Amino acid sequence: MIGQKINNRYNYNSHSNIFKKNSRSNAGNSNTLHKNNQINFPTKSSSSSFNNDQVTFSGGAISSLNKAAPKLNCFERLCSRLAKVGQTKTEAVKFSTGKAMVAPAAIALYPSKTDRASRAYSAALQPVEGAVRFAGFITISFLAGCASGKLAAKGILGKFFTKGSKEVVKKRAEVLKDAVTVGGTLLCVPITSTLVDKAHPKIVPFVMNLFKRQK
Amino acid sequence: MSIQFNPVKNYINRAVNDPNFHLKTVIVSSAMIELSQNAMDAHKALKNKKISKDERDYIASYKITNGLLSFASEATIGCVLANDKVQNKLADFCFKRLRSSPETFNKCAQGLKILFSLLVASVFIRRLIVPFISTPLASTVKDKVIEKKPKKEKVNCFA
Repeated sequence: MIGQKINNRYNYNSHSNIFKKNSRSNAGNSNTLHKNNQINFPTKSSSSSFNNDQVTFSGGAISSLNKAAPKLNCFERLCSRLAKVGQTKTEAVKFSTGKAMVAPAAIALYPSKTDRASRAYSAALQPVEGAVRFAGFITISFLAGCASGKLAAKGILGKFFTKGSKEVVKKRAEVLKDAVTVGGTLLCVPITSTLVDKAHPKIVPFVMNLFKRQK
Repeated sequence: MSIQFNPVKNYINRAVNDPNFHLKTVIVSSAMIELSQNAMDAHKALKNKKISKDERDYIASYKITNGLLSFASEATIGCVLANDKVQNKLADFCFKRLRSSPETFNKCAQGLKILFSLLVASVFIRRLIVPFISTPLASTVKDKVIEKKPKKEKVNCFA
């Protein structure tokens, strides 16, 4: 009976948001009362009072969250993830995918007069070239990112890269990193092409033999 | 060591304030990298004396035409895709239902921009269409630019 009275009181409190915290703390007290006096506590009314509290508090919040982040399908998820990756990395990825996947297929299926063996060799050369250039690009971008980020953070490149809000400083460092990466790759073009020239006579026959064995 | 050139500061400020400008510069610079690689290959092909002169000239002309065509096409299509109007139309077409939440819409639109520049400008045009055009063009470039064959003299049949 005492429990019921207490619950009724707290049901009344639960309708107003202002007394929410008080009702919760008092409800806790009611439980202790119930345990000490060993009275059959009316569970339905008690649960309803707690549920009312929770619904009034969290229902609105959940609905607002649902409005803020709608469910995304596969294509939308891919696009939102690509936005986080950044420009220079996607450039490297698209170069390597183009070289590794599309170019060999285009060379193999292109209707030309050249013989089949030379076409197969040039098709097998593309992924090797792509891999070497991708590795070069990644190392340059990593080194450029580390170097430019550290130099900018220490203020060696001037106050321009340390002044302003955190976001602006970060964006400036990113732009600088992109510029340094592009400059570095342009400078390293002769090195990567010599590497490709040295690598392909060893790797391409091996790749072609692999494909022959599978047949 | 400190950067005192105004052009560098101006460029960085503009790239920070205008992401489309940054995207355009990245696209053009990647096309330039491709062009420089092709130019390097052409230079090496011309110096390679293991193959016959005719083959050397053809490879060099193919590399030059391929590089120039891919640079032009990628730069133009990248700049078109980076345009605000085109972007808005594409984003509206693909993510109409996400208009209610602007944050996710903007994120997806930015990703779509990258995806389109990746698929259309780089993979589709650079690897499929440009080689298709540059292969027949290479022989004409070889004849006119590298070997510089004289034009056939017109014969006046009335003289």
